[in-house]
Amino acid sequence: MSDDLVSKMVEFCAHLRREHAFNIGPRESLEALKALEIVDARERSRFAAALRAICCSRPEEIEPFARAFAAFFTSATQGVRQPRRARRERAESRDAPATAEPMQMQRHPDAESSAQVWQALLARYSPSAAAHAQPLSIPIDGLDAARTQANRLVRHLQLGRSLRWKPQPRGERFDLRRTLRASLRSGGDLLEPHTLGHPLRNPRFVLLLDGSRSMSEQAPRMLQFAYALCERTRRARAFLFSTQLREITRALRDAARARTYRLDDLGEAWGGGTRIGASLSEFVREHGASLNDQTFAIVISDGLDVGEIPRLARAMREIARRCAAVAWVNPHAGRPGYTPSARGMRAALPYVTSLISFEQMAALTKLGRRTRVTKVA
Amino acid sequence: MTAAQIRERFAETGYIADEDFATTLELMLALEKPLLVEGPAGVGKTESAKVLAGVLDTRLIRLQCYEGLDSASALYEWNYPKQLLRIRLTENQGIAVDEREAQIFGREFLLERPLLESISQERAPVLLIDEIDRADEAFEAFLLEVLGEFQVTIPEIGTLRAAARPKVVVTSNRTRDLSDALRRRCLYLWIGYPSPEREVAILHARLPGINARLARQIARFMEFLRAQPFQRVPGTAESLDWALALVRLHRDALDEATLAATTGCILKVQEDWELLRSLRTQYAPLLAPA
Repeated sequence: MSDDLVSKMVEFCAHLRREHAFNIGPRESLEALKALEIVDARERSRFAAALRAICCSRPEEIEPFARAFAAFFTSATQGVRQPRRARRERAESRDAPATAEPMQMQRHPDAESSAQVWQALLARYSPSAAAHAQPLSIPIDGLDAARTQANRLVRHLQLGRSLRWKPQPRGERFDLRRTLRASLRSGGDLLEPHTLGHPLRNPRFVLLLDGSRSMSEQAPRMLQFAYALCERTRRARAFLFSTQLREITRALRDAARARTYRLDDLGEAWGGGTRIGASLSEFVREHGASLNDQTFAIVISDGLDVGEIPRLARAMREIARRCAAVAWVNPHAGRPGYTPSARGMRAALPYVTSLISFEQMAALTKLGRRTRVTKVA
Repeated sequence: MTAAQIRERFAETGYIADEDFATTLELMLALEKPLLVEGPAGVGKTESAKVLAGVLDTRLIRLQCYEGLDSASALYEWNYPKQLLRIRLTENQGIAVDEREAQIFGREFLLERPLLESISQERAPVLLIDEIDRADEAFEAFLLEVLGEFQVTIPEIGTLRAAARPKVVVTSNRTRDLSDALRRRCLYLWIGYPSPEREVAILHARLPGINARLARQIARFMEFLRAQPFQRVPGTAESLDWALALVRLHRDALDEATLAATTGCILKVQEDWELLRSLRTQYAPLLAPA
């Protein structure tokens, strides 16, 4: 093994960790070097497969891996100059938005008329519009209120009992293991019966956030809630959609850990038009298997869809079928005289457990309480 | 075992392994690390572990995960009736409590479950931990000790180390996200749907008598189906079922009537049937004229 290849390999692993946030460390670098002893680096595709098995640990990483691999190992004998340059370019492009004004949530503070919203939505419909590479910041003001809401929701939502057996003082099944152990003290007489029972189920949360322009007014509150919920429990996943769907759970958790309150690289999932039907269909297709009878789905959207409405209905039916409950938070629902008249909203309504407003933060408490009532009943 | 040998031996049993798959397996055997296999349902994740056991000529020990799976079902359980009986039989012998405890918590009273069984084998078995995503996070955390160190701690006995490290294959259908800790302990392999060419090869390997034209038609049709927004996208398992059904029905080409009669082999949800019907004009060119 040449020293050149060894140093390149180490640099490759460091590159994946730094630039693409791969969860790899010295152990993986070491294993990558071991892999070189097993697989000949000149056999490019086998070499790639070996490194992929070591460095990747989730399907989303496969594509960035392939790009990085192509940049680093274009030929087994080439030096490391090319990837260095590529990295510098990327670093520059990453720096650019950071030095610029960070994008504020209230980009459209004035309430737009629905006609304007419609125009804007249609204008943003073009898939080429990707002017939103800037990071999205989560306002700190009001975050504590969101934390209280999230905490209350997690604590108060009840979805029945788990299937797991746990020692419980007044359980419904005899715990032979503990009873027997206790009986040794009394010479084998079973004097102290111990029992097992089913503990309460911990609900999982799935948040589907509408990141389109028409929601920009409500976006701070929405993101704060998603942030607070992902920070509060590991059993929450958040997805953001506009014309495309993107999971932001990890981004939110990373932001929580690093206290940066920023989401980077949202692409078409933020600030574009609304394709709720297409996005929810994609969600069902890609992540539908993760929904089960412990899942509580929360859609936060105004229901203004410019896409196919039957598709939205199909996706909602599928989500409702798989989840314990679906709550739809509509920012307009709290207004006096509100009727769900938007086409998308009407299509989704039959599958929604409760439609509630997002006008005040208090609406979220209502959400927790309402669902609790429906589940207990 | 080299990747080329793996491919060859797998092919002998009718499992068509591509280069990525074989290289990853080679690495897994060489580095003695567990392998995490992810992919859509029905692409041969579980099958790969079974075939691996066959190829290595060793035992396959399978742990099927489900919600509520706990260490008593996965690792070990004490044989309580036997323990009780022993306590009763030795009741009047005046033995001290400590001694009695040592007696009834010996290996002979231990019921081995898959995980313990896999590390107490003389010859390294293949341990298949199937659908890990169905078990809960608590169980996943518990698995880390076994997968990282290949050792199991039983409070009454002590720590048991694997005599021969089992080859571990963990499969997941991604119904929930696995923890980073578990992912880091494993090599990773993604098995997607096969390309039409590979699917033809799989069909020929599994059903040696199949008509070449029919196999091609099935593979092309499956490729078309997988691009549609079905609720349950058919995998390789479904195409094999379907091909077998068509062979049994003595069909050597796909046509509209045959498709209608055998849709149940590939699509398992009523809404998907409706969607397929609505796609008739699109798939018509894939079917032979009746």
